[in-house]
Amino acid sequence: MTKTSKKILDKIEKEHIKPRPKWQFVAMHILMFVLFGLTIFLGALAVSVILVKVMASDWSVIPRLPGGPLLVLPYLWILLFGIMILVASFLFEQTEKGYKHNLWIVAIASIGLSIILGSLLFAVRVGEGVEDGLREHFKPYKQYVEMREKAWHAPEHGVLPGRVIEIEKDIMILLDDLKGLKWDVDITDAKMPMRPIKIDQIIIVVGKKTGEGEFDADGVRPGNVLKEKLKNKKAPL
Amino acid sequence: MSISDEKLAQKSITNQESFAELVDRYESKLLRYIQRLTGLPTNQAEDVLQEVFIKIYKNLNNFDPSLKFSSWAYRITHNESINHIKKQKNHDPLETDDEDALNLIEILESESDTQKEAIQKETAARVWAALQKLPKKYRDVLILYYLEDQDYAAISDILKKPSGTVATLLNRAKAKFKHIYND
Repeated sequence: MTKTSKKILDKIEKEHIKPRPKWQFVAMHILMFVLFGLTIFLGALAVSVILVKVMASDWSVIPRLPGGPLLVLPYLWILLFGIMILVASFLFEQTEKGYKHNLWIVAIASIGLSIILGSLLFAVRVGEGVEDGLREHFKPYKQYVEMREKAWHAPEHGVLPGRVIEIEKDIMILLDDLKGLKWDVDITDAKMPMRPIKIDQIIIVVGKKTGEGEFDADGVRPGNVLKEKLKNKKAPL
Repeated sequence: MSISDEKLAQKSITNQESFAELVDRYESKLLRYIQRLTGLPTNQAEDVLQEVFIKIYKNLNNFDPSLKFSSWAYRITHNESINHIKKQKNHDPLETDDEDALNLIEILESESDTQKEAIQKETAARVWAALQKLPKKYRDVLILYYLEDQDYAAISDILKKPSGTVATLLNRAKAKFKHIYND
């Protein structure tokens, strides 16, 4: 035994130093993997909501909107997805053997895993549930959605979203728009959706503004992407 | 045949004599590594070494037997040394013995097939001045590869970086070192 080892053993003895129990390390390693899995799951949830938003958007209308697709992309969810991928890659690197793998490969694998799981969650309508739940129970999110939905309100550019108040068969629709204004929409020459339009339905009218509160429709589409701003408004009896 | 370091580490969890044997095996290697990384005088480096061994002892149950004990011990030493440098507000510039510097320049010069210079005290001083000018990530790999004789896999385990990254860092470190040294 050398002078150093004697000094160290004396210190261990004097200060009652003991090796930390194995379970603490095992628990820490498991925790890292659980956190990694959790971030992948949250990333997948973000993907499922992004898919909900993308699928609900009417992409034939989007080019007419000022700002185009950039204005209607679900940035909040894309940002959340990006953050989760970064955090997941960082957590994986902290696992016992994580450092052996290239960070870029880990990030790409995390993206792939989140997209596959996110697509499954979308298919079983979890994304829709998350989106609806947040809108109902989290006011700041509801306000954010309302603000984002305003991007679809562009009558000057030929896009008029709103709730149907009255229908005059094949001739006219009275529409309540996102800002609460009433519009007489001429649908005489408009291409209508397969399913007949109903009172209270949210639609997007594509065409041309012909005057104050007057719109000439080329086409009428279901407004699946617009839920929040118009949701609680009821048509007058 | 003597017991392997890895088995000795396992035995050390319950047997302090085994741990003392591990300390005996590693104290000079790790002390030299601490000094190469920190430039501390021997008495201060010994304090860091003591902390390193205490940390190794406390974490024995976290030692992964699929790793070499040596890599694990170097990793802990590396981290403790870096922490020590960070804690030290008025850190003196990196200093070490001339022999280290001569070793490094000899290896690097022979690799590039350039004519060997007569290595003198001045050369050693220049080598260490060049090392000090290198970013830490390059200095670390040069020290581990050329002075500590660690291979890519061991450096990967010590610095917790992928082997490919270690190879890239080492190539860049050599190029940068030569550039600074020849300036």
